[in-house]
Amino acid sequence: MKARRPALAVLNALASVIVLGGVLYAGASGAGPLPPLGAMLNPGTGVWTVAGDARPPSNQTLQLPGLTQGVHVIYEPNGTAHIEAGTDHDLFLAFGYVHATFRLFQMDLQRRQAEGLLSQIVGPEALNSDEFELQLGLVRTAQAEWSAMPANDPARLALTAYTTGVNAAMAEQERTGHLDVLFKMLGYQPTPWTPLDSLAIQGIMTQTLDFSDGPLWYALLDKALGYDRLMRWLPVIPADESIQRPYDPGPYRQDPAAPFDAAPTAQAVSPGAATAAAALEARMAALPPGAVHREADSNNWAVNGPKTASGGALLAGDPHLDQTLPAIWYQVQCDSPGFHVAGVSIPGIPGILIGHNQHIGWSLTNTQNAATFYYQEHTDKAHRNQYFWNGAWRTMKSVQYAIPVKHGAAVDFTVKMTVHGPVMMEIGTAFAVWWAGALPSSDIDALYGVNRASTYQQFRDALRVWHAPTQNFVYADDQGNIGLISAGYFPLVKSGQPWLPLPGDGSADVTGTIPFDDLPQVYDPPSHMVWSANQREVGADYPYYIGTSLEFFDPGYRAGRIYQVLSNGKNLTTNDMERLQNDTHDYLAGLIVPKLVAALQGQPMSANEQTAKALLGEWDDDMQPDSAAATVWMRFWTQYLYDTFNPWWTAQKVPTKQDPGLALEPDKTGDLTSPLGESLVQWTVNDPTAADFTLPNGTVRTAPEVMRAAFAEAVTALTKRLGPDPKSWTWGRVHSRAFPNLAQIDSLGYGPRPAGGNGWTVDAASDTEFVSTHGPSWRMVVDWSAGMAYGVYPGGQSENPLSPWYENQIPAWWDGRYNPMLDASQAQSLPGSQTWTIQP
Amino acid sequence: MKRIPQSMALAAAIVVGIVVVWAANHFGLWWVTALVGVAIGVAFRGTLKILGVASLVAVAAWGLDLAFQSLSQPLGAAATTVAGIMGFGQVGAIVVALALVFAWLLGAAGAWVGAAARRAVHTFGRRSAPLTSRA
Repeated sequence: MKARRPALAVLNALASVIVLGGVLYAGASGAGPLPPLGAMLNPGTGVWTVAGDARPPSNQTLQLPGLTQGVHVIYEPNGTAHIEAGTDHDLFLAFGYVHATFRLFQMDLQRRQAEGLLSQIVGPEALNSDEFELQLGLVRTAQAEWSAMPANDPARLALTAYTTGVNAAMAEQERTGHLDVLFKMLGYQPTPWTPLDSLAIQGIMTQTLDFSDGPLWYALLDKALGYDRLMRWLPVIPADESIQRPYDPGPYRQDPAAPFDAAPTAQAVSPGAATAAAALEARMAALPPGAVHREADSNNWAVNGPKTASGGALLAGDPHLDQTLPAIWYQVQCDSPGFHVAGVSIPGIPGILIGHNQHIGWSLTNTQNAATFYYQEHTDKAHRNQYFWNGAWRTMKSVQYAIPVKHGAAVDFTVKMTVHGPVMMEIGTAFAVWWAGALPSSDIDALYGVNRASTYQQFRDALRVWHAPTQNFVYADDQGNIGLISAGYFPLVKSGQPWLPLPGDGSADVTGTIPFDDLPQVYDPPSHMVWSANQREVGADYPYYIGTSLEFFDPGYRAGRIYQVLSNGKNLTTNDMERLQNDTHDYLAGLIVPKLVAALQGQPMSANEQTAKALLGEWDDDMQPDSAAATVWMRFWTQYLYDTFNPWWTAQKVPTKQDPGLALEPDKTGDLTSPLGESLVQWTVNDPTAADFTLPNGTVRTAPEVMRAAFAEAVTALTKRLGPDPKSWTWGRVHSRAFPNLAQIDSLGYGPRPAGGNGWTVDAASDTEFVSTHGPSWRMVVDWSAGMAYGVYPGGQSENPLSPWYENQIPAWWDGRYNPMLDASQAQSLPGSQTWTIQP
Repeated sequence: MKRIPQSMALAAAIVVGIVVVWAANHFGLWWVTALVGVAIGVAFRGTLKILGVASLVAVAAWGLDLAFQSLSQPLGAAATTVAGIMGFGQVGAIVVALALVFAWLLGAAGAWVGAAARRAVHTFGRRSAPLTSRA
């Protein structure tokens, strides 16, 4: 017995230490799918602080090191912040503090995506995203932008002050154990903020709006369908270009620059290029939402003079982006010696992107122009790590990264660079990508120029240094002037067809950009209205190439509806602007439904088909949730598109399995619905016997024949899905909106809820499966004659899911209501407003 | 010198332990729960007693803290939110239970280490009564 006792004691001690060690390890580092339980669950500083942190700010005095004077931050009861500072430095310092107080996790997540650091917090499943972003090079661009800023550059000074404010809030949250709940659940603490992080977030926004894969799709479709058919179906300039309603009808300037060759000869896509395109597309399909630009985003317009009831200028803007919780926007009003500006900011970036100051208002839509070119580099095995360019072999530059991975070793990653840009794929052929967003862009300086401008000339001059993402800036001022300008890089290539992968031998390199004075722009036009809705900004006679239908220029349905309402409008008021922003009339339906009804006239039909036809005949094209005709229309349209093109997709083996984005479905809208639909509209309206309706086996069809068949199929499918009574097939039964959580946590999202609209209505509800998560992310109307502005966004000011400010603005947004954009004194007088007095 | 009655010592250990764990948690020092368990394991005899006291201290310190906070804050909603994030649906009670189970594990495992250390010391010749003899 005695001999066993020491051994048992040792074993007992060892076992106890092992068990305690395991519990401590699980507490500190997590175990398997479990997060670090100790830091996460302890009652003092664990996830429970989310409850106390949810309380809105109260009247209190705070200390903020780095301030030179006192600052006031006034919070309206709905969360809108007003920062009053005695110096510009203090304004931006407080700006950073406020952003980080309410959106630190969002800011950290965004910078991590941009900088290829997601794997560090979520594990190897994010490696594809991290590698892609490191290849694309947002960090390299941010470094170049920061290095290029002189010491006294306003943007540099603002970024420095902003960074101090962010880090003060971060340190305070860490010290008191009040970091956001998701930091605790993921088991990490944020690293200090730097100005590069803000510039990287600027980069990720640019990527969302500007980085496209159109040439890869052209390469894949060219290989499957053949060049002639492809260019007939997805042309550079649509056959019926009038529907696009360009806002700048010309006449146009053409200054010395490499013009686009309007009638190029066919450019072969090599098998290697198609293989590389398919492989790269497969990678892109696995990226987080918004990493590749495939949407038409946003509306803006302005009217003045005789169009308005007051004679002054009215401006409206609603940028369409992924609708998430927390929202992309943080609403704020800033007052300092240099800035008197109100609107929406992006957490992580010190500035008002869309808003107004005391004299002018502005809003943005995406130009959709071609900004991404893919180059097939000439490489061979005899010249390792080299490429042939301008008559000689050149050595690729390389940049080494070590990607930290949660619960694992860092992954070494090398990015190779040619003169065109980073090599994104080396399967089949080496693909390098030239992207305008990779060039340094002084967006923050431009923004400050816009923020301070009081005339169109100052506004326009400020935008000279805005390079990417290229945006349509609408303008209206307190003197009754209006304007619109498409600012940013519109790159031009030496030769070739830039919608396809280009040869990397130097013959098709980017030579420059369209000169600023030649960009699409109008000022105080005789029509007294300017408008953009991602349609092609210029007519077919514009002397420069700006992109094809696969850049996702809106086919003009939103622009057409806006034009229709504004051109017919008289005595327009703020209410009219708000009504138009919430308009759900489908302009496309207005073009096609009469053709469909005519095609069905006198044809034998089932009872349900007759009822469905009657619904369409009485319909006013409004995609309201209670409209059964809206459901019939949309189901018909997707079926019609499918019946027209999919036989060719099948016969010619379009690689939809490798790239699901290329797939066509009879009951869904998809990425190709709008660009292919543009051609289908043209044939249906102007050329119903077009050869394009003919099947691959030679069977000749006409538009009315295909429409009748598609209508019958649609009614059969709807009967099966929604029941026998067509009058009960309301749009809200099949179409909804949802606002998912930014970190893709289902329980922190909102909806889905039945909703009206579709991807082509002014109140856009873009979707792929009739659940829209993309649309108006901010609605703003500025009435300069009344000196009032109104705005609302679907979300709330706080990222804390328990905060009353997490989603408090959704009901107003949903109902089409707006909040007045108050100044600080008005805000302070509101019952329930609270003020932070912040001392140095 | 008068010996402190065992029951008073136990009561004092429970109160002090709860206060220490409670306070430590508010500095983010969640692992102090295990240290308190170790101290209890070293200080008292009897396996069941030690485990019982350490578990009581740990669970009470964490549980009472949560209960106290819930009087002024929506802790139930916080638990529901966290449950949703963890994929437990809307069942916040799971998160509360997980917290208490984790606290218990810390306290009990700490106590085991303390008791085992004391026993090892005794076994290798120090003056001490066999741990199991008082169980």
